[in-house]
Amino acid sequence: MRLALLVARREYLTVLRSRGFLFATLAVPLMALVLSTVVFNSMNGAAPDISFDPGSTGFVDLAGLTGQSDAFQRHETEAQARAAWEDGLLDSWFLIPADYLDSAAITLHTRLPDSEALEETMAGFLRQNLALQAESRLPPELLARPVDLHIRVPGRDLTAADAGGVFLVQFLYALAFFIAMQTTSGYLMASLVEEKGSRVLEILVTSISPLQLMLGKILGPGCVGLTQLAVWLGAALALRSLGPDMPVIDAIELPADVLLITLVYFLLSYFLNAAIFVGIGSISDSEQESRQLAGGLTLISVLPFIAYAILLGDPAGTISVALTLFPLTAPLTAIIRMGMGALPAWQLALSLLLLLLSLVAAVPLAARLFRWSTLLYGVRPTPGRLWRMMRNPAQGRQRA
Amino acid sequence: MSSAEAAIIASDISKSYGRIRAVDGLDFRVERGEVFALLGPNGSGKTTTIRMILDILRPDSGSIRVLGREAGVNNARRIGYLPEERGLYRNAAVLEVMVYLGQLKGMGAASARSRSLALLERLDLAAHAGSKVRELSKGMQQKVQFAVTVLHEPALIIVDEPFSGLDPVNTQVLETLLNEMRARGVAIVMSTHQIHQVEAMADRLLMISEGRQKLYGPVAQIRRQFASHAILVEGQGEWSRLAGVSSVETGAKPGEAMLRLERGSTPDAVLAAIAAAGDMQIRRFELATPGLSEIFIRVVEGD
Repeated sequence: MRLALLVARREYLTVLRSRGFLFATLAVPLMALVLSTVVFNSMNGAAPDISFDPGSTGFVDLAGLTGQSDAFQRHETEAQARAAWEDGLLDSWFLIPADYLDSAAITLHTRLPDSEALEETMAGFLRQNLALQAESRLPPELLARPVDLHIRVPGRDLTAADAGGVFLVQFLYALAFFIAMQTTSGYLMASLVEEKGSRVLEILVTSISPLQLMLGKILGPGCVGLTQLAVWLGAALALRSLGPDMPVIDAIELPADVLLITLVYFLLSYFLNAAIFVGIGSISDSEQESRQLAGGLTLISVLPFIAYAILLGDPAGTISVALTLFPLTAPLTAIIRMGMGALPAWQLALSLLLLLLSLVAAVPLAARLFRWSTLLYGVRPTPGRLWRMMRNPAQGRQRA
Repeated sequence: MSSAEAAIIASDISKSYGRIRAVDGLDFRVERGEVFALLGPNGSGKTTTIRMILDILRPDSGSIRVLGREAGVNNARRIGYLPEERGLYRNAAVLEVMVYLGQLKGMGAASARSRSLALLERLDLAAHAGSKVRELSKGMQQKVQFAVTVLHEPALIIVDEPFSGLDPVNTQVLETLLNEMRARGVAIVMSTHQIHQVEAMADRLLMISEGRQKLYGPVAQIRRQFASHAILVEGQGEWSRLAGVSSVETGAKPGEAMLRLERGSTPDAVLAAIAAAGDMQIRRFELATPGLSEIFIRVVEGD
């Protein structure tokens, strides 16, 4: 293990000194700041929420303010509304409490990630009904702001600020993961191709076992990823404490459990991808070829973001579950579904387990590919040749 | 483990790649404190043999003991390997690369650094310790690579074409270093096509062709095996008069002649005849043994 750490240290320091790392590490906070501001500003605008369907929204009026609604389904009791919601008949339901006129408090139970459009429709609905009441009963500020929203999603309570925070976590995760992977893959590919091309590998494999070498190569960039995260987190904290007054940013609260699970996902998937990159680098003839393969891998990893609409439309559907359990797409899917409150604990646990098992399987496989690649000098490692070697491991040694 | 055990004992080792038999039943020993040459034409199985010694490959059959142990990674710290196709981290500083590779061979950072600096000094590269590898000339890079090979003071050194690309001065520097290590008991396996280096340095050799052993033993003995029944003389005299000489061929240099001997005649008898003749002078008298290059060609073409 000492030798693996030695390799990891060298890889870490080499990446740290590279211009690519400095660029990615410094560029991300800036990009995140710009893009998140754009995203939040657009969220605060009048853009309609395409996932909001008033017909799938119910309500219970304990204040006796409203009659039948054309937009929302009326339920007489909380129990009825909750049952319809839990059975999937409703996407959302809201409760107008008995003391509504005093508090304006509305509790919204929803699976939707964005309640902006719903909130506006609710406000319109309440204003319409309040207008029918005797004017003497109405506090003047109520008409101006008829909804003080408190959101509840399955398994979690969120304030409106929380919901924004969860979305930000998803967004930043995708961004951080993508950039970290690009940095890592770029370096790993270049490093492996250089070592193969310059035959340094011939010396390395006579000094250290392939498994130790691979561990070092994966651990080093993994620590680079952590360093990047630390820099980005530090930049975010510094921005909040020292930067200019930014209500959009200040309103965000990141739930601790979401952050923790996100970190676990990030680390597991980072190491898994790094192991796969090593395998790709081992069988690639050139840096260009390896980058193309690695690019495809990164694209798969951010597929859930591309399929965001599907996840929103059917967060518990087959595609959503499949993307949650497939190790390469698991992190982002799980984080998106977690934000929607649509990720059962067993799926979260199974997803993490499958990711971990994939990592455990990928490291020795990458080491084996790497091992073989050192034996294939001068011979293009075609898929057929690699397959034959995998079927006949006696051609290479089995040293671990 | 016995400290007196040979550096390498290969017993009937074979290795195939698919249907191609790269190495076929090789048996050889490399003793401590000797330079052992591994010869053979391209594709003869030399690299496969070296990789089996290094445990990069495992033989399909037979066994190899290296420095008293089964071949394996446990030996890594006691073996230095200079591959034929060289390469170092081009964008790293020379000293940084040496210390890193020394540490991978089990050295501490401080000792790797001090030993690296000493070797660079010895190889006249001290001024380049902080230079990037890519900034060095090819010959300089080769010397750095050699320094990396011997940095951890291995008990067995395997060098593949150690002198290719080096000028005569640097060739001599490396020769001297290798000879010093041999004198300290280090076993040196040298694979090369530069036959004159083998003649100059090697104690014994193994020549393989198509994976099979063709010649094995002390260099001098092998040359004697291929000696023709003839004597090379340099001097003055009417050599054809001598009893026991069947024919005389003019040599390459003035005064040089090859005396082919009659069946039953011996070099000693011819030398005695020259001494008895009184009118003949010799400056050189030796068995006409072919050079290793000629032996190499004869063996390979004999296949």
